[in-house]
Amino acid sequence: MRFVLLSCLIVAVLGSGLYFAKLTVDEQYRTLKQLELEIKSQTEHNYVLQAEWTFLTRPERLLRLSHSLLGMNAITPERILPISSIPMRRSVTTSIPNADAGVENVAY
Amino acid sequence: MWHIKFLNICRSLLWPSRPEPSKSRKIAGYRLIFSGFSMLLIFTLIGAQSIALALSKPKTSNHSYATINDKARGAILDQKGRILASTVPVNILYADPKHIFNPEEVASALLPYVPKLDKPTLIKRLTKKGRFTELDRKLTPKRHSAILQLGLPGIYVKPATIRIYPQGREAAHIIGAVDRDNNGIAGIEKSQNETLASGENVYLSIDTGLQTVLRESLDTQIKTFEALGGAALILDVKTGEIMAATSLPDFDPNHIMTSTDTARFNQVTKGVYEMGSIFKVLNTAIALETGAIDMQATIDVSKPIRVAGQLIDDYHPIKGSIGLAEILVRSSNIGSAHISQLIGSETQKNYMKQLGLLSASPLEIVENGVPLVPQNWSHITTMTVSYGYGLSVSMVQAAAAIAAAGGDGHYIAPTLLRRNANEPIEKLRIFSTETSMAVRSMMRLVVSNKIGTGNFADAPGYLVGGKTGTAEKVENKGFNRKANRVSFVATFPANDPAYLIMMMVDEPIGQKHSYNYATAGWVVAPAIKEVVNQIAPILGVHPVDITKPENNQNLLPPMMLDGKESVYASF
Repeated sequence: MRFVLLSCLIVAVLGSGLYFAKLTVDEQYRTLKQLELEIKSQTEHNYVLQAEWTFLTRPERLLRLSHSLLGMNAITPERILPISSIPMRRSVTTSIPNADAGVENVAY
Repeated sequence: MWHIKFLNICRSLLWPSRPEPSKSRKIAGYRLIFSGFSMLLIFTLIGAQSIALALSKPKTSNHSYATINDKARGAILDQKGRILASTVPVNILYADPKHIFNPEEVASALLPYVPKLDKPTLIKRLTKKGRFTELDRKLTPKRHSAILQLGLPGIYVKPATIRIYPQGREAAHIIGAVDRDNNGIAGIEKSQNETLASGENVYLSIDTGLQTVLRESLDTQIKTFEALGGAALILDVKTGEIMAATSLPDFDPNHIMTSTDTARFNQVTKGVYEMGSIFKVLNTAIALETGAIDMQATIDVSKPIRVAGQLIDDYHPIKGSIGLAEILVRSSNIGSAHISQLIGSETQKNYMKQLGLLSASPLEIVENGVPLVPQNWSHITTMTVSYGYGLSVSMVQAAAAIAAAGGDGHYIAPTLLRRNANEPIEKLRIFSTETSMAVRSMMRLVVSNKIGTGNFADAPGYLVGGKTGTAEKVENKGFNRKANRVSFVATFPANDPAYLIMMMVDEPIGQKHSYNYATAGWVVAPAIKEVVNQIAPILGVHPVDITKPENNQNLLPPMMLDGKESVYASF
């Protein structure tokens, strides 16, 4: 008799434990699914935003707007110089003959 | 009689008679065993159910708020990752006619929110047989909300996806389009359908920035010279990547169904044309490579050639004998025809084959033109092919062939897909370094020397080399001298060609500012200059002082042209 009662108790405890474990897993699973849906939804928004951004920043539009609103034109070759053509700043001690004449005399 | 005995036991259990003291202990034992088994059964059932529940799979929701799944059609991106085609979610407005009891009333309420439909059409759709009738495919969130607020029975909204092309008309012929079921029907959308349908993105060699510059310049020239249309491309000479390709008139792939057949025709890859004088670049390269002629030899071009009833003459007649460079710089048909005779038909044909001009190119697009090759490569064919008649090829094919002659001598099959950084490039050597150096020097002189036909293409500092081409259009089995297809092929910088630009304008009309000329030099060359000026900074090509010897080191020493020493920097 004692064995029967003990078995019943063990079964009941295990069953309840499993049931609660399953409930917890179900809850976690629901959360996971919700998160997955949210990610997909955000990805969709991302697709739309990327498409909108591409549409608004398409070179044809930027070209038109920069020309009409900012008066910008294509850069001419004369305005492009290699970095080496920019004169280096001369050393203050060696290149300024009249150093105490003030800042205005500093040559670049 | 066992059953009577059993019934008696049951009766005694339910309504037990006062037991005899000797039996009461036995009955109590039975009751205890019965209760014990009942409890065991109940707990066993509960335990079994718990195990069953624990092992069962959780129920999943059938409803998904996301419309783009993992297998959504992949995007098409340009070389720098800018979107050319993408899939976005939309809401489709539809009706279930069975749930609509008063179509007239529903149509009146709905009409302001479905701008594409008029009232009779809307009523017709609402009274249609069946359970589904589409009313609008691109429902904006604002209209969606307004329609929901109307609370009309039988009017529903369902999520779906749609293919969009945010760059609009840019490279529309290359990108192509899809049908309502998102299956590719043209361009890359069709040729790469399998890859895109599996959710993978496709990167093209196209650069949208360059594409815009090229399209704008071509469009300006077409409008200025009242032409029928035109086409242009930019090719990376060192990789074979097509960085821009435009064909005008074009179409908006977002509304492909409203475009005309002419607009949908891809003149860059599908159309095959007689290229005219730009083929002289190939003729010159073949002549030098085969040793048929050298740079010092001269040819008498004063007399037109009459062969098989055809007259070969020059647009601007030239007196006396001129050298190979001058034949190219002055674009002499007579000189080119004479050179072709020195090359020979078989050799010329072989070179054309090696340059990929006798069969369709392996381009990753369905609209890929097949060249029109003369069945009999006769004596006269050899002569006409030398200056670009008798063999019709696509612009892409011609560009790839000229990139070999005017580049570093290697032929690289053109591609529309972006090459990976370390991807090996299959190169086929057709011309020696010496030949290609001579060709690029002569191409530079076409632009830089005052007797050249392409002076207007000279973008200062960028060492543009090129060749003009004016081809008469075929009409009624003959040529129409008034209907020309003018083209220009340019490479830059000429000392180490990195990029090739080819542009063609269909039937331009001479204007007052061009002194009524509608030749390639007047129509296309200025646009080439404009394109080079704009794209060179984007491509990182720096303008150089072309008078410095180090910038001319990959060009031949100055040549004699028009009796004077030519200089690459002269104009």
